[in-house]
Amino acid sequence: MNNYLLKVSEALGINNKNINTETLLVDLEEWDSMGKISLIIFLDKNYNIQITADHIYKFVTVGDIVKLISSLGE
Amino acid sequence: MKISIALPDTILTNHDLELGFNDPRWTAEKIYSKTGIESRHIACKETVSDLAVQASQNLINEHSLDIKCIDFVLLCTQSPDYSLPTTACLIQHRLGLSNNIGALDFNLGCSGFVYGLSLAQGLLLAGACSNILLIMAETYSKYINFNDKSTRTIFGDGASALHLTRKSVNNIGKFVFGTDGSGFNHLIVPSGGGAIPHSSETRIESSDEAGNIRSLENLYMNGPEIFSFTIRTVPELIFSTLDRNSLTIDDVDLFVFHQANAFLLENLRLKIGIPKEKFYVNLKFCGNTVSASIPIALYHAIKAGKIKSNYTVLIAGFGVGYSWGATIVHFSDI
Repeated sequence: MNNYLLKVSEALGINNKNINTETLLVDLEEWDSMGKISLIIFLDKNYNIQITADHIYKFVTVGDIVKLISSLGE
Repeated sequence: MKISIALPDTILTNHDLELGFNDPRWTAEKIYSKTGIESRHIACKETVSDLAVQASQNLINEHSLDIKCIDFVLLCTQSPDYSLPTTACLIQHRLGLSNNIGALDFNLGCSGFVYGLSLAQGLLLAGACSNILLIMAETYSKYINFNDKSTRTIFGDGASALHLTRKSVNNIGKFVFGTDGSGFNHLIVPSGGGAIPHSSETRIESSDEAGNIRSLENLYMNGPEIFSFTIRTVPELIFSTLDRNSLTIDDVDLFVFHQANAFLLENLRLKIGIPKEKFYVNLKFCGNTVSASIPIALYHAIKAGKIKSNYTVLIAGFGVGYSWGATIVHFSDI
């Protein structure tokens, strides 16, 4: 799981020490429109999936992003 | 291809924005690092027809154009002087052009320049006219709320004017077009048209979750969705355009995309695999000028010697609508 938290941190440009799967995205300063755009790019670059913003807006916790990344495999 | 531009007098810097926003998360440096934009020109007193006339007069002066030869005016704008009449008619009058000419506006945003070239090519090759004045002029700032950081940091106002003849449009390649109106509400001024007429309610301002304030009369941009749309759409647009023109990336001397924001452009460049030296970015001092952004970039690229005689340039516009389009322009003489 740590590995996935690292990936989320990398995607959003934050320090992984500050987050866990329960962290509410709304509490993260990095989860602004540029943060959401950074996640779109991260997923495109690393997994070649083009996710819609509507999909991203449904995420509530860091765990929701972890779930998506873990479902995409390595 | 003869191009001139006009930018409004007022310059809005990132420092001005920082002072206005008064939000520690929005420093001048951060705005630059997120957008690649340092300043933008804002039409405080100018209208679209003012900028269009200025760009046309610059075209007359810089290229010794005999304005009397113009027999068709095409204006692309989404911020016309009036809902009606057609702003191109005002431009005909203000430039003192003949009454025996055609003039029309067409409403497109970031893809507008590519569509304008195609419309001009069609009119010229059909023999409908001989000398077209193709103008892109936009003043999105008039729609933008003072407290909307998502749009105020990105957009600038500006105009371009081109003189096109049958000979010059022979240097334009094959076009690729795309449209997806399902994305209409992601970049929109919701009220003021037939769907939601202006009323006391449309003037009510509210704050979104990021603290941006706007009313239904203001420009709204769903940044993440627009970003997602471009990375879903633009690479395929570029490969289709290369394919339709029997070219490869190696055959193109310069790629000039709609100047949306530097972060988006860099990601598109990497995804498509365009070498950095072949990719022109021109945002720093004028921001995203919507339909005028490609011709303003071409103008600056020519001035900077980045486009030379006999260069093959791929231009691509994409955004509001959603609407997108691309083509090849061969610069036979500068």
